[in-house]
Amino acid sequence: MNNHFLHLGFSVAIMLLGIIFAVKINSESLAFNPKLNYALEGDTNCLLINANFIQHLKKELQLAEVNGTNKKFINIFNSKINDGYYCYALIKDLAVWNNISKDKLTNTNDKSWALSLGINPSNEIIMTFYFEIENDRFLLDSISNVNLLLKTTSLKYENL
Amino acid sequence: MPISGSGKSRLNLLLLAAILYGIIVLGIGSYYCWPNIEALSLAGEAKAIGVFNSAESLLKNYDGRFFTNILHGINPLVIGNIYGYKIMPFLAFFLFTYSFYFLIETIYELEKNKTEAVILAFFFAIIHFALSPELVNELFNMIGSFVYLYGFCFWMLWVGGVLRFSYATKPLWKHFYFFFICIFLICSTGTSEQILVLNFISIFSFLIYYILRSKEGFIRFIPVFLIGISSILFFISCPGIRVRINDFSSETDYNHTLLDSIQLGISHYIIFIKQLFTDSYALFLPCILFVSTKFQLRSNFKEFIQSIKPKLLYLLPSILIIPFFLTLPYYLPAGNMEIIPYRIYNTVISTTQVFLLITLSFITCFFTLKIHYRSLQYFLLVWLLFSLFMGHNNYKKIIKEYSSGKYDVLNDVMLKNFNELHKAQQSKTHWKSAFIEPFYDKQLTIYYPVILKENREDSHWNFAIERYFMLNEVGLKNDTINKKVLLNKMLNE
Repeated sequence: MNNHFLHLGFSVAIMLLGIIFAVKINSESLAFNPKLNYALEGDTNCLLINANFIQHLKKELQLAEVNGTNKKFINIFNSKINDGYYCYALIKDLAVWNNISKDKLTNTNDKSWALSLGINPSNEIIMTFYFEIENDRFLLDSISNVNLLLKTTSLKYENL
Repeated sequence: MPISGSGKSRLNLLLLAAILYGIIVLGIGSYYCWPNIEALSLAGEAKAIGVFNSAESLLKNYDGRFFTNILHGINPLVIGNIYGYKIMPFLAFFLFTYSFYFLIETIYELEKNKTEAVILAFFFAIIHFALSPELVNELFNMIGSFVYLYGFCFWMLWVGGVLRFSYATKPLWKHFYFFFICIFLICSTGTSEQILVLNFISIFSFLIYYILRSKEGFIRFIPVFLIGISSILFFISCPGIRVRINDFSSETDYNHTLLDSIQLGISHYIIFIKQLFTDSYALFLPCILFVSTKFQLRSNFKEFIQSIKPKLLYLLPSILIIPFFLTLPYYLPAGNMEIIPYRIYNTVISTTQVFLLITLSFITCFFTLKIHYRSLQYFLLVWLLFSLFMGHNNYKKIIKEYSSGKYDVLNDVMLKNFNELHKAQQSKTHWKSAFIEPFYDKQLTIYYPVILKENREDSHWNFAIERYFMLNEVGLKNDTINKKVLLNKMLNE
């Protein structure tokens, strides 16, 4: 009988662990835009985007659509493709090409590097970024400038 | 008349010849197999953000296969060993053989001749892989094998564990088998939706059996049942599974009802079963008959069989309907499709093979059939060897593809590309880039293609390789778009 209670206790503990983990991943998942989240294919830990940013980006995209700027981009954005990757890779590429040092990137008080890339760090829309260079990871915050991201991503698609 | 000692060794020699043939052919396949971009993508993610982080984010965004997602982070590719990938088909082969041996050792009396049982388990595996409907996704494409093979192996282990747990008398063994069941029950549920269905049916079957026949067994089984149910609920509660279902549904014809999906599933299943029983000069059934005539059921199973009502025994073949249920998690959300998705039938064939073997053994035992073993076994073995060597099966396909030079072409392209990627990785330049040749784009028995498109179309595959090799840019040699030019142009605007 003792054996039975031991086994029962163990299975209840496993059940509780399962419930805790299920609640955790479900609540975290709801905090993100599912389309973008999906597109990131697991990079949710690398890129946290404020929901307002997504809304703003969508609005900008709709404007672009009205102006006939780039239909292809809109379609791709709406069909789960990897905008997250684009934002992420874009900043990464920009930093590497412009020889921005790791120290500078990790210094959250010094935003001069963002200005040097043409990104306005004081923008009200905020993205928080984990940044990877050569297998190291750095936290970047307050990177913003929807127009720049929009312009570059659109440009990429226009050229495709 | 039972077979004499020399007769047995002659039989074993013939079986060994078949096993050797299969292992050599699979060895050729393993030597020439390569990881595709999807495998690199999943390993690259685990490499970048860690095994559990990558598994967690896949659960949020992609599917509910929690254990498969962990396996994506524990394999040679994650430590950057591309050549270690070639060991994975053998690992999968031995896992299948061992799991099958573990299950039959639980059901049959094997103590008297363990060597013969091991040989037979290998032979069973060789026949299984000869008939596998999509061998590439069961053995050579590692990420496919996690889904379509590992899950069933873990199922055989936990089901064998439950039977041993119920007969164990020593407390230490009871504890051991209990934890053994827990581990493999959780792992198998987390491999695929198909095994989830199989586990659901299995744990409820055990529960009903214990309720009807043994109160003590029922009490013992409750903790296992709770673990099984919670792992199933965990799987279906993952946000990723909703994304996957939505993804499937968005591609589905909206006029397609659930009934249509089931009808389509049934029609595909009938075609598959017909092929299974006739392919390669009907290799499947003689294999089951041969193995079932080789061993005697354990006494507790014999007692169980003898104690049940004859009418109930007629229901036994109905368990062969269960493999069909394993296809439903695919057909229900996917709706209409013209081509049979053979990869999902990999699990179906494994289940059919094992269920049919057990059913035949039970029927033979119930009717205490007196089979003239020697002549029947020799006849079946001759049939099996003829079908295996002469029939159109996976081994024949591998040999044909190998002799046509396709594997050399695949090898050349892959070696060239991986060398190029490694060279770029080791370069001292600030901007590390590699422009490679298009990956091999034809499906082979040993290679499942994922294509890198020109000009970064489907660019997530470009990103996947960039992330895996930690390069700034990976493109195709024919690309007219270059990341650097594009972004410099943007900066100057």
